[in-house]
Amino acid sequence: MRRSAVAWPGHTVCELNVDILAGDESPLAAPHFRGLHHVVVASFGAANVFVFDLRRRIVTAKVSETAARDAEFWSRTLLPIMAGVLGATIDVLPLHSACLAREGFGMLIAGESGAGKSTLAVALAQRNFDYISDDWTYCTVTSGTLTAHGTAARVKLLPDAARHFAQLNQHQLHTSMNGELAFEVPVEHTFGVRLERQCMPRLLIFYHRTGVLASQFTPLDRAAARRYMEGSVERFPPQLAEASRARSSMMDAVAALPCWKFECGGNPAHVAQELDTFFEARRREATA
Amino acid sequence: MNGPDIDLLRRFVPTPHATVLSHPEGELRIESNDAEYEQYLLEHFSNASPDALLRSVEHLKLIVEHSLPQDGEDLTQLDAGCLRTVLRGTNTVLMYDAESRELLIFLAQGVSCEELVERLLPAVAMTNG
Repeated sequence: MRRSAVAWPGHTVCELNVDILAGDESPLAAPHFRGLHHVVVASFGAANVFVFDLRRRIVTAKVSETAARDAEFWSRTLLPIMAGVLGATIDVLPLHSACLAREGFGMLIAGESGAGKSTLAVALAQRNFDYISDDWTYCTVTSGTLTAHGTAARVKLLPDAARHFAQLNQHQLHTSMNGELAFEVPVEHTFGVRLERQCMPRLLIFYHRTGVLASQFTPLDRAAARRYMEGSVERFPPQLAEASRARSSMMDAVAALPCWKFECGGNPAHVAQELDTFFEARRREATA
Repeated sequence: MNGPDIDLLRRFVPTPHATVLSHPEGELRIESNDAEYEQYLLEHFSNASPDALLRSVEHLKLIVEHSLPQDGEDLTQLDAGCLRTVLRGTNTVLMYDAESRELLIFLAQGVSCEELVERLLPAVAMTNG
């Protein structure tokens, strides 16, 4: 049994105990998740099982040698799952949003599934933004400071993204964790962009793709931001009331950001250009 | 901007079939989304009393997954302090917390009541008796 303390920047968050099944070469299979009360189980085939005890912040696993050796699985699959499952029990708010930054000035981009957050994130990264995440961003509040973290998970792009990014022609489509057919590629190697692990978010953008090229930015109030966040996370059971309160407090910190609805159509490069112009204006205002 | 009510883990499956079994050393609350399994467990614990497992559990919650087929015979057991987890394949999962005295179960379609009480419950039980 290998025991580790897992540390999120600024926090020691949980204990991870892994039992590697000697001689077992079972591959990682499609994931299966279930949870009741304070326990969540994630399995990737019968030989690769992770149990999350949210009350005690202990993760226990049995894995095959194949899974144990697979560094990509641990860094790009398991780490985001751990951050998502443990979430507020370790003072982390998983936020359904992309995150990009320039010189540390961060921007969270929320939107419904399929709105094009990932495509826009890549297009922005190609415009000299630092890429933090494309789909899930993990927020912490330490001494009143809101920080957004990425996990280096692969960027997930739907098949039609190949029309906009020629680099995807060198990659195969895969069935992703939620069953969608998609490209899942390491963003820094595939697109030659900068990957950063964290930033301080200063803007919250709700992106809505339209059929027209003209862009429109409309200020949104905190209540709208809260509604989006509450609608994009799993409910907690009563057994996790403390975590629920912690999550609510972190949502307040995110909802306090200047928040805008961004409506725009056209190809990703155009949408990214429009958002970049708006971002720079807000950044100048904030730093003047 | 509200999304759908998300329950990827199936934490909030309604369990309307509930009963409380009183025994000399306390009470056992059984709840399930399936009346047949709930009744079988009630009869099992009523007849088995006094039973070591009965003394170790105060709350048993059972979700029968009617559209998720069983996918393996072998049992996998993971222990972490007072939490024991047993899987049959991957689709049947039993979680027992000895401290909170909770037994939480997802049962795949086709796993019988008999197998549940004769094979799976003994495998997950951490009893003193």
